[in-house]
Amino acid sequence: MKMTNMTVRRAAKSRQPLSILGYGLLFAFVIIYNVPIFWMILTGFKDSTEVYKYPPTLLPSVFSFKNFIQAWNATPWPRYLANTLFVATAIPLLKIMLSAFAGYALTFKFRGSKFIFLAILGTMMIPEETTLVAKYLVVSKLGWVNTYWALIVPGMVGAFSVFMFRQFFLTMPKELVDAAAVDGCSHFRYMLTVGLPLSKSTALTVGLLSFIDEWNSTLWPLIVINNEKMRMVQIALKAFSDDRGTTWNQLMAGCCFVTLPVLVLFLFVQKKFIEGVATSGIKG
Amino acid sequence: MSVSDKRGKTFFLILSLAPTVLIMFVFSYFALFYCLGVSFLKWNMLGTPRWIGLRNYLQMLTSPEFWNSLKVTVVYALWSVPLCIFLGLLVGLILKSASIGRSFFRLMFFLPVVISMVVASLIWRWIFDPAQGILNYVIYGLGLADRAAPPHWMQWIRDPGGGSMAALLIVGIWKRIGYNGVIFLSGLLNIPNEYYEAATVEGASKFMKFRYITLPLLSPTTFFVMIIQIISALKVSVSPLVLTNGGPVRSTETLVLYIYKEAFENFRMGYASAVAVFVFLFILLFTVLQSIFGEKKVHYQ
Repeated sequence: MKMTNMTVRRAAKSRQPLSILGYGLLFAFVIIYNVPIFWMILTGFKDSTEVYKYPPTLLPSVFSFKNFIQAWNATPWPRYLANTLFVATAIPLLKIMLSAFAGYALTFKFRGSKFIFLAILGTMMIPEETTLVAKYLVVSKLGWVNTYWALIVPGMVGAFSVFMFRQFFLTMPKELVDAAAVDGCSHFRYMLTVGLPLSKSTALTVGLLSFIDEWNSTLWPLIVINNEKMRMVQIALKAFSDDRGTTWNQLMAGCCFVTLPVLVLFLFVQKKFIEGVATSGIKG
Repeated sequence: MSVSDKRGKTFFLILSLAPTVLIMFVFSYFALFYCLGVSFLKWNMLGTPRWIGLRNYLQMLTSPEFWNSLKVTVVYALWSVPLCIFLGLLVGLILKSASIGRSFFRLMFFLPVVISMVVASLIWRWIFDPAQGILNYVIYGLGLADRAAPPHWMQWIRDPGGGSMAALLIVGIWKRIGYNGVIFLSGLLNIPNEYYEAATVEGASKFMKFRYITLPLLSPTTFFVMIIQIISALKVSVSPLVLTNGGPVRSTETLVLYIYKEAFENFRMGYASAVAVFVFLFILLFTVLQSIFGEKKVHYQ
């Protein structure tokens, strides 16, 4: 956080704004850059005759929600959205708890602490894509195929979140722990009443990154879930697209359902989210 | 049980670390070695696995499909890595100079990063549609191609001779620029302004400032972006799965997609694991490069 403040101040000093023309061009460019997203929404509003009109119409002739309603009724979206919301909320919450405690524990020096820390960081060198098959075999041995366990348990730990919490707790004044010791407070109570509340900012960053990651996660749910009822939205969308072929207005409406929640959330927390990505740089 | 209590502390440490360490051990390290073990087996999930030694690896090295997917992945990386770095740097520089309204523009560049790869691929599949897609309409409209004799690449995801790969690259790059731009922006903002001021006093041109201040001082960021870009290019899988399903004629079948298909469509668990071990080692090469050269330089100038 200190770093960011410093850079902000430095940037303020070096303010050399673009010219009006420069801003105009930049604005035009970012709009064009996002045309695919607007195109998704606009196509969702078109009816089945208009979507195949050639030359294509830029704006739908009538903004009617009819197509959205049809697409919504064509697949049990509420069920899939609820599934995904559950998993994408459970994982960040569990991840924050587990990583906060692990990160705090790793601020202490004990026999093997360094080894454990390095072993945790080392998992970042093993990309998920390369262990998919083995992870699937483990999960199927555990009998977790088609369960929330398979979706949640492997995702609720994260090397980088442990690292971030450790960094945070290292900056906390030692007097706080000492004061707690005088009061006869246990480490558990200390963490729950002092440590975690103070680490709100780190927790929020970890939580947001993880929520959007899980909402968008595709490969793992594709592999461990084959029961339709348990589908996550991305897989539901893929199935919907296999099913609908090239009914593009229906497909784009489906894309809107899947994207809207995460887009709205992002617009509210964009600053925190982007700064989180910029500091971590390991996502994606 | 207070903070100063030795036994209580040991108990606390074990309990705090156990879940994370256990889950990571099982799903990372054990999975990795399990993958290595399975790669020596012939196993279709149903029957009993049979030990066949290195035969999966031999089969891999003699399989045209494997070499094809390696080629597809390398071609994808060779195009996407330089383009993503260059365009990301450009966005970073633009964002830096747009000091008013920077957060708005940053947000606009970041929207494609936030939407899922499945959604991005589906939107682009619609845009790329050879007959009804908006892209070809624009290309014709601008007079870049003749409507009577369109070039083969305008078939996009249906053209194995370059069109499908171009489509895959466009989706990947479109979704990635904002992400790299944000990382470059924070690298750029970390370059002390005093250098630029001193250079201005000395009468340096804009280009000289960029060449002799920005580029060298930004090199740790550039190196970092390059490595994560290479790694992410080697892992690319969801976009070809949704956009083209690896086709046409395997022209977009990347390594990870190949693993997925061998394991979960053909149920050749052993063979898929052997390819996975190969991909792991391939990626590890770049991870190690990063930890050797990048460590100190990436975080501090």
